[in-house]
Amino acid sequence: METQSQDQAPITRRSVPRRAVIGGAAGAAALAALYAIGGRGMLSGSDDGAPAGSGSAASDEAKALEREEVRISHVLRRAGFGVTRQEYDHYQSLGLDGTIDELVNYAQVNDDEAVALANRIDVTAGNIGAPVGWWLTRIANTKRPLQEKMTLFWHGLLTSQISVVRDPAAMVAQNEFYRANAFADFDEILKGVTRDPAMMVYLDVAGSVRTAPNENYARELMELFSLGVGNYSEEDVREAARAFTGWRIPRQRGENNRPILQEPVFTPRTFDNGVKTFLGKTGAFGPDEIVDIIVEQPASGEYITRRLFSFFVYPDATAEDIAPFVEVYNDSGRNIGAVVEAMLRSDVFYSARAYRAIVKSPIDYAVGAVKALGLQASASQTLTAFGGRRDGGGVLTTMGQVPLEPPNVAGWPGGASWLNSSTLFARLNFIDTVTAGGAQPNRPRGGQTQSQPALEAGTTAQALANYLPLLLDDNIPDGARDVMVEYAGGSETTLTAERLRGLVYLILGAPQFHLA
Amino acid sequence: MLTRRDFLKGGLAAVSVGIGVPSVFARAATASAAENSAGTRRTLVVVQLAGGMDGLNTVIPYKDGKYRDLRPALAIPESEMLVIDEHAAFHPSLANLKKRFDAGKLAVVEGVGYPDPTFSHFKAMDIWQSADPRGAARDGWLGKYFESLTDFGGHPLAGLSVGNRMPSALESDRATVPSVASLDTFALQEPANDSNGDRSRSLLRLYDVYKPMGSAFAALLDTTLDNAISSSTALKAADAAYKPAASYPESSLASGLQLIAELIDSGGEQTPLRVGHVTLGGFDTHTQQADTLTGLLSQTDGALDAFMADIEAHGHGDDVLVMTWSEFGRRVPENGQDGTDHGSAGPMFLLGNAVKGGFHGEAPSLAALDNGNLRFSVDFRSVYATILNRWLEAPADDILGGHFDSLDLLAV
Repeated sequence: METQSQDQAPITRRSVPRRAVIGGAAGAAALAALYAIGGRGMLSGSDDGAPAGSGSAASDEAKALEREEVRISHVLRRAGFGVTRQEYDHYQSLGLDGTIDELVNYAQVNDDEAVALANRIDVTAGNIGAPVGWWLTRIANTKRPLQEKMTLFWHGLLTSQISVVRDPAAMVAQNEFYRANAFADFDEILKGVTRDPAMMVYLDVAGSVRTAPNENYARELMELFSLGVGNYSEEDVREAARAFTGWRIPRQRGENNRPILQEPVFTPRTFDNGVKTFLGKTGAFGPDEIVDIIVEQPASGEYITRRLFSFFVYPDATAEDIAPFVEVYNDSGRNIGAVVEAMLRSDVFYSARAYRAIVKSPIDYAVGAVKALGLQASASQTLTAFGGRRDGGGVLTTMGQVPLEPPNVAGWPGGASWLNSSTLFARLNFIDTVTAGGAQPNRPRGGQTQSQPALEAGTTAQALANYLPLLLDDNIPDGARDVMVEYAGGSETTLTAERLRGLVYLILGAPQFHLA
Repeated sequence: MLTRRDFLKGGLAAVSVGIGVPSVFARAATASAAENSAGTRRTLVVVQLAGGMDGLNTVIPYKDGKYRDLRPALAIPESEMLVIDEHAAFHPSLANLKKRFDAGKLAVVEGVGYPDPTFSHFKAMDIWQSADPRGAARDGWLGKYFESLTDFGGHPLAGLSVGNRMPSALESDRATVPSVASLDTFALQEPANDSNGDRSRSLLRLYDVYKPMGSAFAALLDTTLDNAISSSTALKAADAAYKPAASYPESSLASGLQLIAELIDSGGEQTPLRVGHVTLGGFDTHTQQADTLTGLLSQTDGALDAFMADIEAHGHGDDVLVMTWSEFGRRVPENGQDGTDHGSAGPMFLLGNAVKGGFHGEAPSLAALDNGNLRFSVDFRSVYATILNRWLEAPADDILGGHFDSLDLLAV
């Protein structure tokens, strides 16, 4: 039962348009007037309809990576969720190597403050907004950003949906398993998740019996979690399903009629202890043996390495791109931490092709904005409340990514699929609301008023000097800088509160801020 | 109609062409002659039933003794099902669709599938959405249809997907259509005291300036923002002009269909909405199938009935065709958890005044299963070809990358 979500969508194959689409017309006079007022002087080079994508402009943009401070920001976008002003200063003082050391050796960093802040939220109370807010508080406040990023990686790969599992504590327990094993060996992770009560309920291991095995987990384990289509047969699915029989999850009744999942119970009578033939091996296999056989397949190392590479470096990697990291995977005894560290220290990670090559997920985008505005302590309210949606995702629902509620068992497809007219409006309108610090638009009666953003005042030039390095690597076209200065009323103007908010909106709404 | 680039290039002179036309959907002065053909009045509404709908308990071969043998727990009692004829009955939740079937306005195509079926949700959806069983095509079949429209450029609302995810069927590198989750939030918020639109104008210019930088996603960002703003303006106008003529049930599918009805209605006789897409998920019934399927089919039945009633009352009954699909049917023998695993062929529904009502294709035999799965008798691409050729009047062979014979499903 993995597809309860309303708008289940498949993994998309959408790629970037090869050339610009003239998207269509604006009908309203107001908007028309708005366009007409716009000067054309700033648009040099863009109104001739020439196809985008001359390689030189792209590599010019990536030249920024020659600066160490940009490499540090680049790694913190991928291995974290952006930075607060204080974090920016902290990591810059460590330098690139010191930053990576601190990211990968996260166990040595004290994270008690973030944990305590998150634990103020009772995850079993109220709607699913509670555990979502709990996790977002961890994400926005952690001093171990890579550990949280890996937790999100595992959640997006070894998915479960809270709407199907329905026990918030079980979802949080699964989340803690991913956090604790973020850098573990791949086989340990797969074995652990196979015994995880939330997963066992989500993909129907719980209750699958010898007389009629349920194939759900066996199929998705191979197709989506570890091998990919084409690396196993239908017969392998049926045989593996036999090995996952015999388990049930007792339940107690919790609040709002929700189940409280108990520890798995093995019932030998319902387990198929017969001989199975699976991926060419024969034996009376159980769950752990199935995982052992899977990870021995070369396809499995390539699959997980490719998933990590797309998540951290860039999409659409070639076999040559990932080969060195598959070697690290094999040489390290399938250790995920070793692979990720090798990626963060590799040349390809800082290559032109990797720069701004990933579309930020809604979590990356929204948390990055929240941190830039100094609102991380109230991340839960800010990110789950706007819109007051019942499903607890708040603004993240309209942006297309509610943590703990991926659209289906394949997780979020990511990439270009993050960007469509609805989700782009959601992002920009979130920035509008959050920079204004106003009350929630959809809750006119009382509701919560969010915290005021902490904006650094001064002249236009000072504001740009503050925010462009923090948020955009101080790397935007001259024309974009001109647009910002013109909006602000000149370079040396002392900004009014409104123009300062507007300027920060433009920086957070700028196309480059949607990219990691 | 005008594009953002037109505004930027031509300033007020170009803008004035677009102001004062009676409908926001009015065509530009350069509209092509092809627009007067029937295909441009018509709308296709695609309803995706995601997760793999159990076709066997939807359109039930109740006279086949094997049905009860293979489905001891899940077989629907004959006293509850809605018997159609000697070979088939509908699930008890489909009372409204049965009425439409009896009135000759519902065509059921049985046994739809394709050769060498996959049992992966995601590969199967890819195959249906790209119309390519090798899964190698980049664009969706409806995305390619949008590309085939000579006048697409001025019509950001030639297609619309309801929801905050774009189904890959509608994807195209060259013809982007919007996805709309909710009309309430589908607009660019502006600051209260910025009557000149300074901030929005500056924002748009940042996207324009970035586009030629050649970054992988710069053009996509620019196009998406362009399309979002132009379609939100048009949608707001449509919303203001629309009054529902039927009572829609409370469900996400119903409100999605209502949004599509709004657009069809607002366009009047010259509706530019050619394709609307809405998805209902949850059909992946590995456990406790009976209640889940009843709920989902009931939602489908109520939403489709209200939508058709609304459309008919607004006088568009002849111009709207609904097509349902699911990525696969389910395994014929049930599993041990009162559920069913992934299967193969299943039925498609076509709904509207234009259909030739009744059963089409061949009901798959329960006596000749392939590893517990039904064998298909109709290739889904023949259904697509029929709709493209005869309903949308589009070049089906080009879009589908090959020739598929049309079926006798439509009375047009």
